[in-house]
Amino acid sequence: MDNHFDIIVLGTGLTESITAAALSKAGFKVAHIDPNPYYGGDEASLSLDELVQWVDHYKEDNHSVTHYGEVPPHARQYSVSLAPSVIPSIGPFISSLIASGVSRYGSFKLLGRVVIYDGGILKNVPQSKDDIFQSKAMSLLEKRRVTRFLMFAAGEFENSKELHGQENSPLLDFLHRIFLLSEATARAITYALGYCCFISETTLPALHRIRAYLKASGRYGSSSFLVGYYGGSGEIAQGFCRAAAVRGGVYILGRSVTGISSVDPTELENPVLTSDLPRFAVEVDDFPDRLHCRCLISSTTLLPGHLRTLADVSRPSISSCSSPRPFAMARCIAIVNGPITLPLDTEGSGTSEVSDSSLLVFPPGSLSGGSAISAVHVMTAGPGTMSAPSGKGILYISMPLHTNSIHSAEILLRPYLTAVLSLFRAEQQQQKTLICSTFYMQELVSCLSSTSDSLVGLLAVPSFSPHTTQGVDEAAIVAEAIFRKAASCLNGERKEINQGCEQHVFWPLLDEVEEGEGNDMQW
Amino acid sequence: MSKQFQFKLVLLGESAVGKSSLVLRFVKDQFDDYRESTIGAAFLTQTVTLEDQTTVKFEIWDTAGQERYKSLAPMYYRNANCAVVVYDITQTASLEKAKTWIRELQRQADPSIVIALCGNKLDLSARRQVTEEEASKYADEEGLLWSETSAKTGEGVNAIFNAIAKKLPLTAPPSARGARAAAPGTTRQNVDLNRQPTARGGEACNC
Repeated sequence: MDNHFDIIVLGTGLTESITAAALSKAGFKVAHIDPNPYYGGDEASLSLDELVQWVDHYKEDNHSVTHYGEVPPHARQYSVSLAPSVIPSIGPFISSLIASGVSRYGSFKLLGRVVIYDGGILKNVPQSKDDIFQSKAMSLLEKRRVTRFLMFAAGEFENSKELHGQENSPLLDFLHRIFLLSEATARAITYALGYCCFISETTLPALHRIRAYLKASGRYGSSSFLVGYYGGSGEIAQGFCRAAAVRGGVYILGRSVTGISSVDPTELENPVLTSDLPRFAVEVDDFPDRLHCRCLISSTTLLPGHLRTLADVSRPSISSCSSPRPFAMARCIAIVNGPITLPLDTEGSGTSEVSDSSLLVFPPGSLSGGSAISAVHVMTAGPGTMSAPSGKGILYISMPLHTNSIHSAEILLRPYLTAVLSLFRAEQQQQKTLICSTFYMQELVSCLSSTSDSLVGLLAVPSFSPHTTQGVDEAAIVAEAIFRKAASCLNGERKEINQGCEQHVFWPLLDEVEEGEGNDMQW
Repeated sequence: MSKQFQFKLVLLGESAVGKSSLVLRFVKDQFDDYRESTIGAAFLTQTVTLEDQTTVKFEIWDTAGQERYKSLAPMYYRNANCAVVVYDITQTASLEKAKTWIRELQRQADPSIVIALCGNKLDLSARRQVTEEEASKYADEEGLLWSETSAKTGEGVNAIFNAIAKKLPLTAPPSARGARAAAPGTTRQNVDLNRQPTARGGEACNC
């Protein structure tokens, strides 16, 4: 193997994979390495036997993780996500999926219901204005107020008198005071339309999300969100990696990186071209030769400590992403017997199709024994997205945490699991037995802000965003930022020879070569 | 009325046994002596018409080099209806590798997958190291289709794809087959992201 590359990417999380695909498609020579034997890093989709191995491995690293129950038969027919998420139907991520051609590698369907747990029962969250008008739970006055708010949120609210001076007040408070909404309605909007993680979240970023999701509704159907098959993000990351490989990217999985060093150009034996001097040498387990590159892109977790402070870190710089980032996520993956279509109050349930992909939101303080400050999301998945064999279901429970918790993920989430199982029981009048469950704490490495003396060509990818609805969009935004930095870092050198300054497009138009249809295709 | 079926076909085998060349011959009837490792298409399609006028459309996936460091993604095997596992008749070791890939397929892929073992580079039979008997015996034991091909001369190439087309179960209704078939027992609710008028979602608020 030729061991000189333009770029080496470490880690196959969603952001790194999108970046690798874009750079490879732009014509750069990319090597993509992951120490894990699977794609996706902390966002991987795993079969149940892989999940058990992951648990053992995670324990070794002193992470808090608990696992109960035996692995059921057909373990390979499950695809469970370590970081479940949904995809907004309009936004940077879906644009990248389509423009890169990766959407053809995957299958997607609309998210079924979004429901909110309120006063001990589950309530449907209206997905459209029509839903609101048909709702019997709201008074006419309340309906008018909600409609007024939705018109406001869908419009150009930035310079409105309603928002003036309120940008940083908590959204809940803003909805009470300015739009006179009842508590229940304000909670539904805050947590099941704006998807705030915490009770204190401010108005402006949440309004940006609400506007985006209102627009997204209707593109593919009534829901604003899609879900990916086979566990979602982890599967889609594989698609981006394949896109990179198809364009010549070299993939090395399951080998750890044993050393990264910056290269002193004068030490090289045969400098090829002065402009193509490698800046970094990467030692990979089992590889006799070091791999060289001019630009090194690494997930923060895989970057050795001595390089972390020297890397340039990209962050999403849009207003909807300015909400406080969780410090960690407490997560639970539970496999249950029996189909899991979310139970519902009977009202208005006649029209929609039954889906086993749904999102249930527990606002802060809604469950006794639960969190008073964090919103907890429960996502369901099953055979409808090929995530489990027929007759089985997956429950994902996630709780964002502000700060380090003294409690384990299990202590934090057990009340929610119990509550969800009993809600199913009550509604479907059948026992939902738990087959196995895994509780774990996913810590998100906070990235140090880069100093002015960062190393040229060393780019760090921050920890993935764990936000259920916004995470994939942030991945696409960060990937594009890193793509531009890497391209300009590499082109800066080429410019000296070529005298040309080509501006790289994030996703150039798909040419015929990549169109998978028709017989007259070029190789 | 003729029926059309679509199937996903995956290629497997050691590097440099001629996987891509085999497909290039099948799809484009071309051969390129100097092809280096695969750079190119997401997948290629080619249609085979059987004697009863049934048409079988193959969606052919190449490894894109990801097999080299054992980095093929599970996604590659998903919903694969058939596989062509290629070895080089002039390299004994490549048959051993092919056997490893077949075990991997039996582990990862759908149990009903149709597997064809294909000994390529028949034009170099003067340097043959793998006998026909050895390979065909193994194929029989494992229940695989087997034949030898030369992507260079074209010998045997169409025959092996035809043999696969004939062996595929063409009894199921066409809509239930194919690379993007819905999960059994669920109504088709797939969203096709590419068939939307607003494909690029461009100016929309990207917050």
